[in-house]
Amino acid sequence: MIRSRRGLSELIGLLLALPLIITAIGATVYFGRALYLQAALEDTAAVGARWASTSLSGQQGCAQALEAMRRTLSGYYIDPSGARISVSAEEVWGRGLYARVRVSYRLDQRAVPVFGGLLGPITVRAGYSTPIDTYNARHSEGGWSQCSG
Amino acid sequence: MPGLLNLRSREGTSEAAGYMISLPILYVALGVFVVMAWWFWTLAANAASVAQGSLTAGVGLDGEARRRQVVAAALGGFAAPYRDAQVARGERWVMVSVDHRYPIMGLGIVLNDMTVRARSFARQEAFYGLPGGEWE
Repeated sequence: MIRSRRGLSELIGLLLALPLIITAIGATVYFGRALYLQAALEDTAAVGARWASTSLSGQQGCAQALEAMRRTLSGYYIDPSGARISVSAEEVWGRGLYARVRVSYRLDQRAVPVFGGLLGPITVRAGYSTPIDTYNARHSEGGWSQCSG
Repeated sequence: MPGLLNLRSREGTSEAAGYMISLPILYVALGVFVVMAWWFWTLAANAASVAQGSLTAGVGLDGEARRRQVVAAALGGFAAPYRDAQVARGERWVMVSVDHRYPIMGLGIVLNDMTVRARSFARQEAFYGLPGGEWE
């Protein structure tokens, strides 16, 4: 019966609670996606730093780091072309060079309910550095090359 | 004096009708939370396990055993589907990938699939006398 008021109060309660439920689901998806991307980027940065630090010629560390990071990202089903990667060599405490890798990714969150519209895309960053192995890079003559991609 | 249980009473029927509508929605919301939380946890566990596994394999030890150990510590009895990973090797590298799809069941039917993917790409640690090749 259409005019029946049975269950009306519960229905109103549900209508009040529904936005909260959708918001909670949106928050879960929004931050969950970012968390997953963060885990992937952390691993990608670690992989890149390891590859960057070891280059027998001293010239290929950066290029092979970029390639290794792209392969890692694609394994997480993340488009490598969307990542901003920089690989550089920095001197720390006068104790030799460190390969420093920074990777960031702008995550499109428009499809996520509520939070996607409110907070918009999110940029996730990760970094890692590891000492450049002088024994494995002893053939270097022109210095360690830097790059970004 | 009325009996303790009066099946003909209509008291509380409006509340029952209301719950008939709202409870399925609340259960679905709860289900979404559980499924998403488990998915993210599984992804994080596999990301950590492939990273550890590839590094372990890269230094010449049993990387698969290490990977299984990490994923079992995180997922317990639910780690069985992740027992085998794809391990690829080159002359100077080792790549460990996990790509697993599992069904989401609801009321005995398959509602959707969730995919867990992770990969790590490690250097095969060894003494290489000379530079050259794709990887140094």
